[in-house]
Amino acid sequence: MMNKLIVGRFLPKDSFVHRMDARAKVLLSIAYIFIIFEATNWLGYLIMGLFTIAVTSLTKVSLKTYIQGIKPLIWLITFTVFIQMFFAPSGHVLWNYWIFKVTDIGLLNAVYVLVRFILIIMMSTVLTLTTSPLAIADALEYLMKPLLKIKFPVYEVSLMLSIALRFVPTLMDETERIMNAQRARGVDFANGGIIKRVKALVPILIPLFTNAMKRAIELGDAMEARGYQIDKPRSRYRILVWHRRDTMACLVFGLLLIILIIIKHFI
Amino acid sequence: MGIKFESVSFTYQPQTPFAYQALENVSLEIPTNSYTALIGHTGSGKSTILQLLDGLLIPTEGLITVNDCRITPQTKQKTLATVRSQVGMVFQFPENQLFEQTVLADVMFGPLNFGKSKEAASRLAKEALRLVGLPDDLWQQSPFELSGGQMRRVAIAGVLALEPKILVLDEPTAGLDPKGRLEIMQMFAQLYQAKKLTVILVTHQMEDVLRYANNVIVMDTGKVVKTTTPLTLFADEKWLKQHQLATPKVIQFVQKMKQNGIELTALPTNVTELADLLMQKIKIEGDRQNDE
Repeated sequence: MMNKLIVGRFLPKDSFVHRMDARAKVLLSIAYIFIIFEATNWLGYLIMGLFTIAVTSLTKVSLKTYIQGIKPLIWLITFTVFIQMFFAPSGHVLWNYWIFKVTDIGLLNAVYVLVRFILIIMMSTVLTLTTSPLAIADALEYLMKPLLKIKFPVYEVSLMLSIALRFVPTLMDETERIMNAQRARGVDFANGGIIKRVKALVPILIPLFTNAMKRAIELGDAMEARGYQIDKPRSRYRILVWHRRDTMACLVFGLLLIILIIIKHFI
Repeated sequence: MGIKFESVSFTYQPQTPFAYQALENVSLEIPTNSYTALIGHTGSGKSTILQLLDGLLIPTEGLITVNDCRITPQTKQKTLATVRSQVGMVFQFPENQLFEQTVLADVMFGPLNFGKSKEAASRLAKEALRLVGLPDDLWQQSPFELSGGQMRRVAIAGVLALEPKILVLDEPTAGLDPKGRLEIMQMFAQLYQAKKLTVILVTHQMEDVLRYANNVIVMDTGKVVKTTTPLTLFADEKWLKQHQLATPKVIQFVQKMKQNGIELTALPTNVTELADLLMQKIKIEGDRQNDE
């Protein structure tokens, strides 16, 4: 079930994007979401599309993988696209039925939303496929540092974040194991009405919570035994290094933004 | 009848960059009423086989027959319930699957799911709890208040209450103390005798393989490399070394004696048998000396 999800998973490889600094990748991924809203016409989206495909080819992961990554989210995308299409407030009406009406502007917007969705998912997939969860946590810690000034517990939050990321696969495995164990005892997750299915979750959730609790206690003890003290300054083992390629990537993104702004205002 | 795998392959997450082939063209047969040990290194595909024969996974290729049920890549999830009602599966660290408010309710959970009435389920649950030797003053307690060993017993009772014809054990004694290990393994051996079960045991404890099993399947990197009896397997010192499998202590002892010129008439499967064989040997030697 969860296995089909590509977004959020890390695929270790050696490529240009893999070698980039995690801070650059996180920043650029966020920047990308803002940049994409600068594309407001066909040409803009064409450039964004080509650019995104170029980036994915730099990761040495096949385009097919990215397309597979979009598949599990297809229902969300379809839903949004249909809402856009049927409830457009203005434009020339092409088709009308009861409260639904399709207008030319609505149709156009729907296509834009579709493209935007796909591109953003692809770019987030680039980030997670090429960056190890721990590197993302380190990058976020670094990027959150200015918040120390307003007494935000940056180190604690980033510790929680890296532990959480570390345990995502462990908990997924455990969920799978518990599900299998309960299926072997006759629980049916695939059939029945909504109430029956929700009830079938109880035998998974309770063991999962109690095990997570046990694990948290054990991890806390182990950390204390190894000398972890909260509020004490610590040195770091993994050090992020900003290379020239990261600066270059930022410049390319800047260039992209400028091109899009020119297209938006002058073409 | 029994369990049969016919050129079964299984790939996790097929058609993704994370694809991993766990089984490659596996054919094997587990006769009814046998005690089969499935051994091999971590990652050799043992657990995948167990999940396939309980219908928790569906093969990507090939055919699996469990008693009368046929599982093929086309089999729908819905039809697998019959397989699961016949196979009782004790997972690794089964105490992690307890969730009900009382011990009794947790053990009743399985039978109720397979359509037993409340009375029948309660009767089966009590029977199973007696089998695993859990004192009845604990039956109304929360399973989370029990000790680790007791929790494991409750979990095993939850599987036994299903009255399976095929009992699948995935390292049932991992993490238990020596006494608990022995008790649990003895219990399974008795059940095997008394209820004419088919038992499939996955373990890294070669002592248990030698002592309890009458059939061994050795797996290596997703393939079956040998099917034989424990005694034949452990007699072949060279082959074991090649496949980096451990030899049970009793057999090691016999081999050491052989190196020093003392040969026994047969291979023992446990310490008692070893002692008997040694006594025989001493008697024979004594008789011979008396004759001279």
